[in-house]
Amino acid sequence: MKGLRKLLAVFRAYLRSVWSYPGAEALRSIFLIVIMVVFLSLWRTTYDAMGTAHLGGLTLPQMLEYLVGTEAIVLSSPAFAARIGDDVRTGGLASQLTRPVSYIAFQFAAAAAESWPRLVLNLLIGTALVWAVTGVLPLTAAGAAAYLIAYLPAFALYACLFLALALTSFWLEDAWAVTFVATRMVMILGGLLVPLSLFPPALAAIARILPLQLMVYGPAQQLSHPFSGIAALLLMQGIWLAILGSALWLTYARGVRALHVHGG
Amino acid sequence: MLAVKTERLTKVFERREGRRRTAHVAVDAVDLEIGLGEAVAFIGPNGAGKSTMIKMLTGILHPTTGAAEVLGLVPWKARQQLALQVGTVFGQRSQLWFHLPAGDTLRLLGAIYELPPAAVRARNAELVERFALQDLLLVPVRKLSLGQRMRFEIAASLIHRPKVLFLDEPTVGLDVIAKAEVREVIREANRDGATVFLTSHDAGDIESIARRAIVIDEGHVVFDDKVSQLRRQWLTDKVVDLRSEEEVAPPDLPGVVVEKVSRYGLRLRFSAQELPVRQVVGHLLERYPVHDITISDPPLESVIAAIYQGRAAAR
Repeated sequence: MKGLRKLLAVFRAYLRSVWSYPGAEALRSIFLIVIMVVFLSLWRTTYDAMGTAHLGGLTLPQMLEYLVGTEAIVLSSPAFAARIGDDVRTGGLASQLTRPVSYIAFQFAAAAAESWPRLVLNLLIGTALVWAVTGVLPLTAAGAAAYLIAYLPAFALYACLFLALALTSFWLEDAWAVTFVATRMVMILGGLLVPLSLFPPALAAIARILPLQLMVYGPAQQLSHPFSGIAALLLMQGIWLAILGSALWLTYARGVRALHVHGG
Repeated sequence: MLAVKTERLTKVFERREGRRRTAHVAVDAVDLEIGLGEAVAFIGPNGAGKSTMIKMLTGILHPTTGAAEVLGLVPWKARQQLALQVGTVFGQRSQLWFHLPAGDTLRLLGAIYELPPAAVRARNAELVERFALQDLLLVPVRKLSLGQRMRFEIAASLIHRPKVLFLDEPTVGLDVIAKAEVREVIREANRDGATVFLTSHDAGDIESIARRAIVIDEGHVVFDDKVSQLRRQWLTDKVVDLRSEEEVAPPDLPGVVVEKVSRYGLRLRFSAQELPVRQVVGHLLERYPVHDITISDPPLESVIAAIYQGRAAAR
């Protein structure tokens, strides 16, 4: 209970911190709009060229809303490697580790405070854009609810994977290269740009056994097919959460022993 | 129970130089005992092992060999439990959240240190008044001056009334007034019962806060005694300030260095080990119509400078 109270305090403090830079938040949203305009043009051309109203079981507005869902997740995801790498390089880790709060739990709470409002903002802005351009409101209350329910474990999975990778800074000092590869893998195999239902069968089979699609594709496809297969999705997320959570814990336990905190 | 106890505490860092790996011994078999309520200065040149020692005692670094206990806890095994009872200030880096208003930072730390909301409010009010922080509570930390930030840093380290304070250069970069304020607050925490473990290159910090000094050099403890002893033992030099009733010419006395000459005054320095004090003073009284004469130990700055220049090794 005490631990939860601490993490809530961290969450509240970081929430305020995020909104102390409204200009930066606005700029992130502009980036989403630019991406969505490009997607709109590409997918409209694709639907026209194929002469079909459905691709992978999705209409054009649903496809665009799917992409809003995936982009909202990826654009709001926390930059663990930059934050932890900075702590290691500057020696700021010394202050962090002398507080009576778990370093990992602290990072989770801080990342949630930064990511969750951004996700909601991105979802609303993207949806409004799709609505304005296609004339169809692609988001239903059920779709939004299913998306958010699937997003929470997806966020935890993403955090476990990228925190574990970012903790390699304890040995390497800079985990940028490691996380760069991982983010690209999420983009390609996680279904950021194209739903898994449109992947070539062999690639789709690979993507489905990896946890990356559970972080992006899984929640985003709930927007157009609310609560369809959500139990299986949550189960798989739970299993992978246990695996990646254990990997994170082991990485931290080993990393903190190998740590060389810089500076006098 | 002791505040700090170490037994042959050792930390070896491995360094890569090209393909070769070399071992650097930062702390070498250090034995220490510091009682509750003591105020100890931990002195040494850069790279002597001071910060490594603090990082091991706060549980951030695991030692290579040896043992340590702080308030009866093994720091690297019970870091979070220990954190509730110790306060830390790393002068060269901040424990505050740069984007948050400074007041929010204190409230957040109160929650992290498990104080009930009412206790956080009461303690914050106390610290805000003590450090004169009232007008700064709404200012984001990133906009505070260094002096203002350091006042918040120390306040933040005291929020949970720690039993041991680890202070790593807490006055670095501060102006004279800010230094005096910070020192007074640390003294006050010590008077209230907190054990103070201070590292600083500033002689003023050491003299005004600590009663005991531990000198570390290349990972070894080379001195552990009262601060006053440090001055006497490390530098056997004496400084003589003489005021004459007539104009003076510098004395010609082997072993005596003339540091300063004015029309009616002299400042001389000599090693009391090589030249007995009575011999020097006798010579001066004989030679000059002395109006006033003072014999003193050299300032602590000189002692620290001598340590850093490795004079001890030369002796």
